[in-house]
Amino acid sequence: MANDNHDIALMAHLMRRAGFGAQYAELEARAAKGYEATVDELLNPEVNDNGMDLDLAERCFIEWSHHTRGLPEYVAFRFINSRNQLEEKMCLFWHGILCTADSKTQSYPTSYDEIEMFRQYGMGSFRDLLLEISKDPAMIFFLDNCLSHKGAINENYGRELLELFSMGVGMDGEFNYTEDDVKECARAFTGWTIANNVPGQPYGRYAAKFVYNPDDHDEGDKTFLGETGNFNGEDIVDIIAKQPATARFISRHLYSYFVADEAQVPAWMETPPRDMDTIKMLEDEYFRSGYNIKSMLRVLFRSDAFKNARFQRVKSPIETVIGTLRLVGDWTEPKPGFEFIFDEMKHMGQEIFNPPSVEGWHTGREWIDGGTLVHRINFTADFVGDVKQPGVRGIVEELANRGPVIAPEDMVDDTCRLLGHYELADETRQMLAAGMAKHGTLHTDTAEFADRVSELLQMIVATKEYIYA
Amino acid sequence: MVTQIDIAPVTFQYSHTIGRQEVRSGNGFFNPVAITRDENDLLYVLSRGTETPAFFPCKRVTVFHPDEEEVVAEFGQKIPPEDADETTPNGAFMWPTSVALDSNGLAYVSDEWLNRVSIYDQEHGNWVGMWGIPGGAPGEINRPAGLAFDKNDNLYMVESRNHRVSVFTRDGKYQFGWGGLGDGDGQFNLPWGIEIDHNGDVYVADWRNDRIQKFAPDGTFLMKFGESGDGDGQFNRPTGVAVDKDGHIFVTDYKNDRVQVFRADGGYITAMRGQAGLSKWGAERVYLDPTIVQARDRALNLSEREGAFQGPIAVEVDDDGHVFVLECARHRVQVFTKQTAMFAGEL
Amino acid sequence: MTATKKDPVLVVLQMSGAYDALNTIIPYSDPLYKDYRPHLKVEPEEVLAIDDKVGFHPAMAPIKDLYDEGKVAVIQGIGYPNPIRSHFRSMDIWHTAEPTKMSTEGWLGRAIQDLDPNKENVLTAVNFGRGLPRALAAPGVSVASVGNLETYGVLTGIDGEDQRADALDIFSRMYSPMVGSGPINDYLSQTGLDALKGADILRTAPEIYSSSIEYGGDMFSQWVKNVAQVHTAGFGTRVLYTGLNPGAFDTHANQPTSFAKLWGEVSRATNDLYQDLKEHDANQEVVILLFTEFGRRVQENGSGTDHGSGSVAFVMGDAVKGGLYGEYPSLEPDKLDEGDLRWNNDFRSTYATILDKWLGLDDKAVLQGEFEQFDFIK
Repeated sequence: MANDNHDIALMAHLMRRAGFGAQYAELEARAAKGYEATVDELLNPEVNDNGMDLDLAERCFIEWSHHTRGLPEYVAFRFINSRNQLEEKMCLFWHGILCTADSKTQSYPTSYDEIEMFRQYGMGSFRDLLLEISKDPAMIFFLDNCLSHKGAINENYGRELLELFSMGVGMDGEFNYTEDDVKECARAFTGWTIANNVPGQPYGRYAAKFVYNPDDHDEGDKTFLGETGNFNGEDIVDIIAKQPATARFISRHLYSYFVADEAQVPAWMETPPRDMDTIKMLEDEYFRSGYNIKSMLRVLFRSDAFKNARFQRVKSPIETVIGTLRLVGDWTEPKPGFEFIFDEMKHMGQEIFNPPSVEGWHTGREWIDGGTLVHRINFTADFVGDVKQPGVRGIVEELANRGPVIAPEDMVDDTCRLLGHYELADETRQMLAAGMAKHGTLHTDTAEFADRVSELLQMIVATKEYIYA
Repeated sequence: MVTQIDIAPVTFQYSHTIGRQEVRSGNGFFNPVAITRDENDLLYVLSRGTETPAFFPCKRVTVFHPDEEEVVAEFGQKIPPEDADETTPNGAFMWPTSVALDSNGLAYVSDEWLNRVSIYDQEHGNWVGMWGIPGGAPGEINRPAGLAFDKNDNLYMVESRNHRVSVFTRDGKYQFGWGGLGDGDGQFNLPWGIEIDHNGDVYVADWRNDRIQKFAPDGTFLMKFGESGDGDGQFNRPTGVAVDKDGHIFVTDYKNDRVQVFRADGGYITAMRGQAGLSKWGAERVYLDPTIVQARDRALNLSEREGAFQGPIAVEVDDDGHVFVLECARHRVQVFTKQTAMFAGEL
Repeated sequence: MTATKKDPVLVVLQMSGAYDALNTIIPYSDPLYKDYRPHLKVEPEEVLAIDDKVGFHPAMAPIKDLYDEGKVAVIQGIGYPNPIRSHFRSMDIWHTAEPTKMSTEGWLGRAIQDLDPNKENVLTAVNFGRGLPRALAAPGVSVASVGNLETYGVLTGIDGEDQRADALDIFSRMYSPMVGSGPINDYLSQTGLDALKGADILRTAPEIYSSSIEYGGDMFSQWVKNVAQVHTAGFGTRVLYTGLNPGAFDTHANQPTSFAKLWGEVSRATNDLYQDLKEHDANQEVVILLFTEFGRRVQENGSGTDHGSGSVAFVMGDAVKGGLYGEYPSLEPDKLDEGDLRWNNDFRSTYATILDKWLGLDDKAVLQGEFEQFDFIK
């Protein structure tokens, strides 16, 4: 039992990080198969069935058709329902780093193509991913590379590629590149543009397409990060991929997303990583594997640093909302009103397809302010407090199975366990148990028992501890 | 331009395109899913609309003349999802799927979320009644999809989640039905569109089985054709079916973005891929804004990209050889005319 | 709690969706107007004339009444450089006062930092609506965001008065700072307790409030009523923000009906707010800014109008010197900006005027730049 509990607690941690959480029954089943097997399954989505009836979802939500599915709601629906949770979680990872915002690009079909590209390349070679993002129509428009011409460069993409997508401004207190590198980088990407698109009038929006225009490409020699040649964008990507700064940058991002909240990106030049040993291990794997993200993830998930880092990250709004829905078992199939779910994430401060700037979302404690905290607690409490939800009903039944009467402390402990082995501070645990004890003896076979469970669940998700994943 | 297929006895001349994306009402459609025609040649297009509340109210039936391209009536309305329960107002839609007309010209609209059929009068589209009891027993309905009337005003309804066809009188009295989940003859898997031909025979787009099944009016299985794939005669989620007076069968092959045409015996003839141009309603909109006109002039491969079918979802025919293809993803109807071959004998 | 007497207060009414400036303040005597608007034009005799050139839409009579009392500044031709016709981006620009790059800080968020630098009042700013507009966001600034004032608070889903009281008691103890739990936990504790405290105070507002004004039943009017309730309760709130639901004014089609209905509701609510404040002798310390993210196309599309640029905004209150400000943009085809009204005053001039002349803040610091000011504040 102790061992089982340990395995399930670890599995709960893995599924919160490498996915959007899971119900207890799934945790048990996965723990029985083993941690390594689950990691492998998550890392190899291409050989697995995603378990979704997207076909039917598209039929019900007709606007998710194969041409117009570029809706943030579709992305959220996949987050909730895909069995290949890591694949979806990596889409969100890259969406928050290689950022474009629909507020500027104004084309959901184009934004969706980008997410699909992340799904395809997000766990492959980082070098390939950089190449794909450089050809991504949403990105080309978002960072104005379509306005960068031979002899009249626009530096926007060239700069952000280095600063926010691959190397970062600096490392260990030193700058990683110069202003000249930015300009040379931008020169190398001249001619990487988008075709004149079919306008959204009168028949609706079309996804934009990448084109390379050799006539607008600057064929002159460029000197970039100390190397000189008639570089094109692909050469630049090759040079970037082999930089130690790139290994550091990606490692820190993976660490911050999967292990524990790091400082915000602009502080990375001056602020060393929280856990240099783990970063070093990831950097080594980056080079050893030929820039392979999947290999880095495998090393990460197998590391003790990962396994021991429970509840070290503030859940993002998307993790909060999607995790809650997966926990209670809602939205497993389409029904009217899905926009509401999407709005909830937005009101907590994270809107799919609309990161607030090219820097992506700020994370950690910056997710929380007075407005978003109230919103987060109330949203989560409303769902877990609804005993009609299948996942909540399951928790009530599990608790009732313990016997006709349950002690308040046991009820608190067991409920935390069923939520995915949440750990409460001892004071918090005592307060919640005392709150339950006020109701007198807790008979599990009464109609009121479900109300008690509902109250307790609402209190647990309102704790500070529950803010973390 | 004429689409000429090797030794095909039938060709189709593109005529014109009707529609544009129009979110709420007016000269256009928004995610249209069904099309039908009345005895005066007016077309009825049902727009499914969107899930985005900012665009409510947005769902409706648009009645228009296909030649003059004039809207003569609009009715029906989308309601917010939180109102989609027993309190739903009369005549409102949530997830409308199909529209059919009885011999008096009343319009019947199925709703697969509310599990009911709403009825509207001919002149003004006023709501006049509704029926439907959710469930799985005979006479109850679960996720109604296609609707079609026979000559005696019996309403043939495809019930996608009951995987069957149920036949009702027009006031909702259950007559008989057939089907069940499966891939055997007379079984269905999430069926969608339905058509009744001049002889009263019934064709069902058996959506997830990627095939068309044909039945006698009493439900007796007659034939089937099609299988999964993207080759000739194969389907990827067929949604709609229509049969013209010559017995030619038209199928919207939704995810293959084409309309396939078959002989009465199910033999493959040809496929249409679409060649839409700028519609009258589209031009009304586009020419108001010089920046759009310029953007269209500059667009790469505009006619090719814009012309192709995207999400052809339903098809209607008339006795004059017109074929009306409704495209969900592009909010329009492409109209074609069937050409009589100069030489139709054996070569 | 008593507010410092007569501290200046700003109410912001955000009209999402972009109202049609041309049919809001109507250039009714310009012959080009009816050419551009064959179906949507308002007949000259229906326009509520300001002078012989322009006038209010007939549905705006309640605002026109305030105008006639000299309490409304109409900022004509307002806009921002390089107009973008995206609702979201454009609203972002109005929120962040930053037209050229994307930013996460709101102009009012920075103003709130200056109004309450030591974070003494958890209710210095209150938003009514769903989700916090970016205008109010800034590091360290906590703004209460209220969907429904009657039920605002944490754990609103717990049934039963006693159960809820117990739950809130436990909540306040759970969020008490614990020794040695680290800076992030301390921050969470503070935020949680502030939210609880804010909710406790806010909940008393409807109980204290009584008024003869009956607001409309629509959501916006109710939020405007909440503005009056919170202001008159004297919590020391300095910035009150609310608006229409997203996209309300986005009249691509059926404009005549929906436009008149919306302006009818908004104008009535605005006038109701003024009268309500007056009834509570609280009108003199409040200035109201009403704005939208951009204008709409000059040429109608038959039943509505598409996204455009140059717009019109309103600043209202006793402290306001009423009248027309800015110039009405020309309708001459060659003076339009790609078919839109050409803006002639930067929206940050209006912000700067409000920040400096009304709230008494350093407008250059808040807006991170210097903008010419109007003289619409007395």
